[in-house]
Amino acid sequence: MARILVLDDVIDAGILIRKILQRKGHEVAIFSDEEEAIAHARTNPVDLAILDIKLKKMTGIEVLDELKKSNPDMKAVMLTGYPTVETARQALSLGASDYCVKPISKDELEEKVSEVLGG
Amino acid sequence: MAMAEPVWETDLDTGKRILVVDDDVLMLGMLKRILSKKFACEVVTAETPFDALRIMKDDPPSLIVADVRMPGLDGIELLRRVKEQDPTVSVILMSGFGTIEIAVEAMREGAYDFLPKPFNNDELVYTARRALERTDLLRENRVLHERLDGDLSVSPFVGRAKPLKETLDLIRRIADTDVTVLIRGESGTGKEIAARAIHDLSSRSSRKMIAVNCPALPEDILESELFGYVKGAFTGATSDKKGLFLEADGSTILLDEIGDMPVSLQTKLLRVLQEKEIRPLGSNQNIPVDVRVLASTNQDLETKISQGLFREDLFYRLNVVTVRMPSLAEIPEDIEPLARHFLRVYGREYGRKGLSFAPETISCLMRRHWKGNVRELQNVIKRAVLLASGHLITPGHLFLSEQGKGQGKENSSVCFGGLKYNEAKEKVVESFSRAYISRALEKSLGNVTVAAQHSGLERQALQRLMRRYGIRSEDFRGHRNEGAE
Repeated sequence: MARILVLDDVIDAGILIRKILQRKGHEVAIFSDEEEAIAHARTNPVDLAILDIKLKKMTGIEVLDELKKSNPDMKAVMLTGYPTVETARQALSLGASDYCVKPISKDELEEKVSEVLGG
Repeated sequence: MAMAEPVWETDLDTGKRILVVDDDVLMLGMLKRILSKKFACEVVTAETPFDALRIMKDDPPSLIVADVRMPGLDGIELLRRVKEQDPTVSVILMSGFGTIEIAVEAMREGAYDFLPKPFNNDELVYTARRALERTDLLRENRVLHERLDGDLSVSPFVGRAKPLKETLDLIRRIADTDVTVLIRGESGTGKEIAARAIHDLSSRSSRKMIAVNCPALPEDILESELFGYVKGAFTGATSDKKGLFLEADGSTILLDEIGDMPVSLQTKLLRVLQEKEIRPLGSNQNIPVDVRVLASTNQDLETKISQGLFREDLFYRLNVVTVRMPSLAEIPEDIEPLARHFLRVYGREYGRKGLSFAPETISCLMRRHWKGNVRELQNVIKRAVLLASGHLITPGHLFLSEQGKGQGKENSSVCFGGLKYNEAKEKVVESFSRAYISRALEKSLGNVTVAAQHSGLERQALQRLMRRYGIRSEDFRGHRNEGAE
């Protein structure tokens, strides 16, 4: 069981991910607002963050940078519908464990999460 | 192409190097130009990942800039192998096929950055600068750690073999005491270096260690050198002379090759060791001295004692602790690191950086029986550095005499320990192919067509083999002529 934070500007996407991961026994907190997500991570332990890159006010990369400041051991997986080499290298050099392209299947998501948490 | 102009002496001295790897020669030239203009360090290039790995093995650079798509071994695999060998090396990968998967894989494997082609020069310079800083920090950190671990404390020694490690452990333990130490070992094993290490690690290290080579001087001169004399002690003694023991007061004296010291002098030395006093020639006054005595020998003192050539009581006085320096035959696993160490040292000293050993050169070094031990190995490498004409040091450059060569059979360098049949076979085939092709090219002075004819191979087939094993015809051009000159 891990504590997972999900941030996606489309709340339905977050709900879907929560459903999938809760079934695996994880505790999932979902956000569509960047600041709320960052505030949550400041006061709550987070093992893994799943971050969309195209958000409303900030980019997922900036959010990752912020989250890492308060939770340096936190793992992160980027999930985006608009992949670019630039965001991929930025995310990974900021410490993201993986960079996935939407749409992602249920199996793939489960697999990535267990891989990242396992390692 | 082999050497950058030594414009930035200081940085070149620190040995900071950038290695650029790309099978595209134009790109290689361009990157080299940009990087050597912007950074005060040497920029070396490799056209194949295999050349890159060879350079990496001899002297890891600070930064590697490599293309992802290369024949034989792609940039990602190169990255993996580099990281395995030395994780402090920063690697920037670039690719004209800037797919996200490759970028993600590169970064996950530990690339410092990934540059999709085309990129502008500023981008490259910016990320290269930060990558170099990263390497500097990591290496500094590593040095500090090693120092903390006491690993560098006996620093002049290269190698990891167990017998050497035990010796170094002993040196470390006895260094900061005042006990007399007898250092034994064949010639060329580093007895004097061990003595210096003992001195440097002791609280006497702020003063200079005095070393005396006993057989170099005739008996009476040795005596006056060691103990000094007063004015009028003998004809020609026009003033007082301070002996080396007095000079070493508060410090350490090394009596090198003590086995050759005449017996009469041994008696006087024994008195010094017992009384901690010396009496200069012609004087009737003893002068107290505080000297730590180290003695070294490559002789069998026990035999000398039985022949009456060495005083037994002196032997026991000296032999409070024995430090035994292992011969190269006892530490074969250290031959390769030592050879690479000397290649680095002399490559720098003679401005011939970027040299590396051909694989068969290493096996040739391993097979040899090194009678003169590390010193002989050191001299052979030094000569090879001076004589090598290309980038590669081939067995021919070693100029090893027949004696001592070929301790084993041709293939004995291939170690099968724990290998699957197929892997072992592969290894043998590879070592055979390398040796065969190198020899053919050596004979043809690097002419591939001629070498192919002699080998009964199609030219293209030979070239394919050369590519596979990273053998370059340039490395064989002109050796003969040079040898004849």
